[in-house]
Amino acid sequence: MTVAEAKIILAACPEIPRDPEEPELREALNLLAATPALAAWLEQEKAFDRAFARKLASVAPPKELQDAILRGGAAIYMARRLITESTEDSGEEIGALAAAAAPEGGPEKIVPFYEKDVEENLTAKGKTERKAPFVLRAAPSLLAASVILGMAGLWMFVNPQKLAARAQREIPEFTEFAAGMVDSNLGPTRHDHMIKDLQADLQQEHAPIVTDLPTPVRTDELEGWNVMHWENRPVTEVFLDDHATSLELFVVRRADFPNDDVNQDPEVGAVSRYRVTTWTDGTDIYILLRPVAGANITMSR
Amino acid sequence: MTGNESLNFKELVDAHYSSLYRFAYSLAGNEHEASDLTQHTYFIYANKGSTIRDPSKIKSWLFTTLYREFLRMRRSAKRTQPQEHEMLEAEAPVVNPEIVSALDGASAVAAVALLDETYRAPIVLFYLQDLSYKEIAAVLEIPLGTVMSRLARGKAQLKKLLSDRTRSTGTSPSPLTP
Repeated sequence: MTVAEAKIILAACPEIPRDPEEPELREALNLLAATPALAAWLEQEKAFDRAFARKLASVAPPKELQDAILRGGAAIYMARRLITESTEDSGEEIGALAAAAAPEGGPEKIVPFYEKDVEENLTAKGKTERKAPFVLRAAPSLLAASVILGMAGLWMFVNPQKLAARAQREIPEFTEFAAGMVDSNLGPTRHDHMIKDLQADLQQEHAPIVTDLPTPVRTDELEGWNVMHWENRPVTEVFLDDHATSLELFVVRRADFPNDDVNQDPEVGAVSRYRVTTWTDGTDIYILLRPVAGANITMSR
Repeated sequence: MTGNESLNFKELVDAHYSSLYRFAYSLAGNEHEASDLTQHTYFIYANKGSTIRDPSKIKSWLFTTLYREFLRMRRSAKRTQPQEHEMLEAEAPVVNPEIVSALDGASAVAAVALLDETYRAPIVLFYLQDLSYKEIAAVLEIPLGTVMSRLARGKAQLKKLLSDRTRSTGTSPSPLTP
């Protein structure tokens, strides 16, 4: 190990351990003990680290932030617990938390928080004015959500079989994840327009669609692809270009989602700001996302 | 009763919201977005926290979620992955800790905001001192070796930045604006 390599390892340790498990760190420490110049460097490094850490720690959050989190989050948290698990929490606690989330000054027009958030995200770019904290803006919706979730929880309590069936359906949750991936604007890690390269790559990655792209999408407008995992299940994300409109196709294995009802006939829905088309060929499940503002999807099988 | 059920939401907020806010502030570079990111992270926890079976993972989960939300909300115009620099930066200049002491908190955050985006998150997580470098690797979903090299490069860049500012203005660093 060189001194430069030891510096990289030692600089990454917040505290220098006396008896580390990692062999590389042990080797770096041995070099440290035998190299006075390295020891002097480390002393300076740690002094800098301590000084900079103190400065970052001096940054205080806005005073209202903690209250805002508690007012909004706690109500949802408790309502979710009511739905998803058998709980001994009293209705009074839920009611108190929901009341805490209620806006001051009477009722307001209720806008679903997800729609509002999407709209604001779409239009907020470049704005510099200070808005009300997220949870305060969403407070009316949070209150409504808490009430609805509470009622749903009561309903689920007397319908445990439906609760179990609901918990097992995962495609809706996966679709939200997929929309989040599209939102992230991360492009493909592999750029290629050749379907044979896509197939070779996926074969190597043990990912879905090792044979061919599904017929409803156009293979001549392939931009690239990523392979990832969701809940330990392989996912292929394919980037397509349909007349200058970006489409992203997510492919998962049918067998990995045994409790979801997915048909061979494409089903069209919406998540966030995307139109979502879902179908299966029996082996894989395909989820195609395109911006709502774009043209309608033409699906042909 | 699951493990996380016994956790009190308020305690969870008290324990981590300051660090999460500092992380968000350093990533986003402004108070408003940092507050939104912090709140949204707890909002997601309120909805999905019941799926975390190991309470010891909650802290890392919160940081991971905030980081993912930052990436999601950033909405970069370029549909490209951040590129990793292959070569190590030149040897970092020595920066006297007194120069750092002369900074205020906002200037420290501003200095971080000037770093290459690849280095910003690991550097902040390192200096927040809430997570081990193994936990940082888990939060950022990158290998341990990558965390180490990004920390080394990020620190070198940070020191060079502070050193350059100091050299150009005398003994105390000038205000930093991202």
